[in-house]
Amino acid sequence: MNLEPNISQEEFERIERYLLNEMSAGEISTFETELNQQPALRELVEEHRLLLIGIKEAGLTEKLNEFHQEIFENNTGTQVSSEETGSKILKTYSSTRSTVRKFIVRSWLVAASLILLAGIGIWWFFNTQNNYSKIFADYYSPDPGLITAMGVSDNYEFERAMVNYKRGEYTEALKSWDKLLASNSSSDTLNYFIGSAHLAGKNAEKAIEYFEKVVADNSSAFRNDALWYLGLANLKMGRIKEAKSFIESSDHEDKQDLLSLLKD
Amino acid sequence: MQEETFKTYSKQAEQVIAIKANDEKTLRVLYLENFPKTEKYVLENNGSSEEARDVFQEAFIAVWRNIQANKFRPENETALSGYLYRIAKNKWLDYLRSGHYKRTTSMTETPDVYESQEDCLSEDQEKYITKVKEQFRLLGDNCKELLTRFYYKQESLKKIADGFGWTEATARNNKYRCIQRLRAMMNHDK
Repeated sequence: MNLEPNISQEEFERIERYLLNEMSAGEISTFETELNQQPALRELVEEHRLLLIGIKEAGLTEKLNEFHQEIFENNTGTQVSSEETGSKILKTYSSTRSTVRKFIVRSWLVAASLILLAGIGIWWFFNTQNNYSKIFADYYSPDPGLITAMGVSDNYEFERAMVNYKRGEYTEALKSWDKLLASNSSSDTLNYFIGSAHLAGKNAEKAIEYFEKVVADNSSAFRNDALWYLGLANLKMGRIKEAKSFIESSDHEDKQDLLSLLKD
Repeated sequence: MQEETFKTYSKQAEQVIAIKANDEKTLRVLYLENFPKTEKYVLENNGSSEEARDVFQEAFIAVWRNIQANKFRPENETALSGYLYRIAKNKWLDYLRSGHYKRTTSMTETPDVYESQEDCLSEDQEKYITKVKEQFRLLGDNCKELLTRFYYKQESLKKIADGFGWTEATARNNKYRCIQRLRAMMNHDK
């Protein structure tokens, strides 16, 4: 494809609005008339369409590799919640990488018995104790964290801790952020991520303390996420009434699912 | 009875919507639940686990593409899993038949459901997309993250701007710049 190396931002955004279906019917028809008349524009649109597919697929591929690693690098086994069957099923994927291919059938038998064992375990769990921490585990995934910004930044300390956070080094992250919080006690960003780090570090009690500060700030961009995590943290602590009310106030995509589980 | 059908349909429709939106949870479950079956098939047919991964991921992307393009509508609960498996299996059979594969093996099966794989992109277009993916990896981390959040995760510019600590206008300008950079890389590396 031989294309002009540059298009103006305006032109780019117009093409993008067309491809992302953001145009009104009137605009579409004007644009399509132009498309019919201008081969160069057609080529740009086609180029951009393929670029978008490529970018999306690059994103998808990265995810697929992450999923794959979960299966094969997690020796302790990983839990998958299945929504297709309606009920939550746990599967244990034991790592069988070192197994010689011949024995693959045997390892699947082992996996099958692990699933069975897990099943019995779950049955026991459900029948003997409350299942809230299980529900928590199904619905909780840590906040992915912020992108560490471009170039040199005066938020160096904050961002370095963000890198720790993303790596799962929650204690490290908390060390820096706690220090920063001392001079920025009202920062919703700090409070939110300190809460997130505590929750990811399995300290729901502490997490609640910080998320509550974020929730109190009506203008915070983190408020909605904080409500969701506050609900989950309370759920983990077994405080169902509080959990429900926070989850109810959030607009998280899994909200209805989770609430329906908490009904009975 | 009708209600039952509707329920199944809406469950599938939900799944399709979630896949279209690249909902991570849905994609993850789809991946983790279906990979073992493909792996088993490839291992039983002279392949390795790595080859199983490659063929499964290719199939996964093909299915995802067809769903994005409204070309596949699963009819029941297992349709999507079955479709994914068939494509992976066919891709593996294709590979075995191709020149890459020299080991002797008795293949009695023939690929089925070819028609469901076609995604009306020409070979040139496919090549171009593959190159976009390669070049994309070479972009700076910030561009990668910005573009992934906008196009793949479909986050709003507002949310992305908040994440970077930018104004929405800056996010929009940077998105344009990152795309320009990617285009330049594509044109440069002909």
